[in-house]
Amino acid sequence: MKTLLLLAALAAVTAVTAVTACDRRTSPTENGARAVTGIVELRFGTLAERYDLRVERTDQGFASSLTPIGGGHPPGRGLLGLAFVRPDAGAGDPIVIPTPQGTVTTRLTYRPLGPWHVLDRAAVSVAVPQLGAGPEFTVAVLEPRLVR
Amino acid sequence: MNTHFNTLRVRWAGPAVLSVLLGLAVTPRTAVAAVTEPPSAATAATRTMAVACYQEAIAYIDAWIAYIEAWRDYENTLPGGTEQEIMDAARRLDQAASAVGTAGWRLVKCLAPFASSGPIIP
Repeated sequence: MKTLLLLAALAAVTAVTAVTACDRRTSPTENGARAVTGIVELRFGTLAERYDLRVERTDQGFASSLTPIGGGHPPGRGLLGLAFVRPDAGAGDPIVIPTPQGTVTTRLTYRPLGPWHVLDRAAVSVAVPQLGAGPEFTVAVLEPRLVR
Repeated sequence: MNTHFNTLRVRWAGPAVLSVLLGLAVTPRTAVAAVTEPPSAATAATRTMAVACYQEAIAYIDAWIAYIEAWRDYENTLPGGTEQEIMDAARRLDQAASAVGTAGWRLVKCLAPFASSGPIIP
């Protein structure tokens, strides 16, 4: 009798493990997620612009669209290729690019959102010996959400 | 007691081991796979990308220096400048800031394929 009870308990534990594993495997994409929305905020000195962001999942990857908020300028066509959403987080420390006039340091962070990774913040800072440190240029994606 | 323990061990060892193995087999390993990226590959890719984005960095720092100069010009105009001079300096400052925004966006776009992980969105 004890044997049967213990076997039943082990089978139940195994079943729970299997169900949990299946549940973890079910990504939001499989549940119908097809886009990410949010607000893109640009800041530099006196410049502050906001855009409504929508990134659609396509067969080729991700396609972004930006709509200015509050009468901002529409972004140029060449600027739309920024990877706001990507399938993986990537890796890397701040990227430092020395130039003859000074050093440009860029720090990009992505954070997970469902099965994808969304740009959290990009910050570009400059160090010029004659001018010292000045304002940072930042691009941030605020309030990212999955759209199903 | 010792005999009883041995009996239990013989009876339950098989099912217990099988259950554990089965549980391990169905547990996904995506989370582990996500953090086992070879650091050497990422470093090499970052270097390549940094070199590729050099022109964007040059353009950004040029725009940034122009902005700092426009800002100083604006500050120098404020004390004794005419209204027109102040407005002109402010307009140049706005244009310089927009130029930094454009150059900064291009730089970020160029470097975006290489980024670090951030906090999880709740």
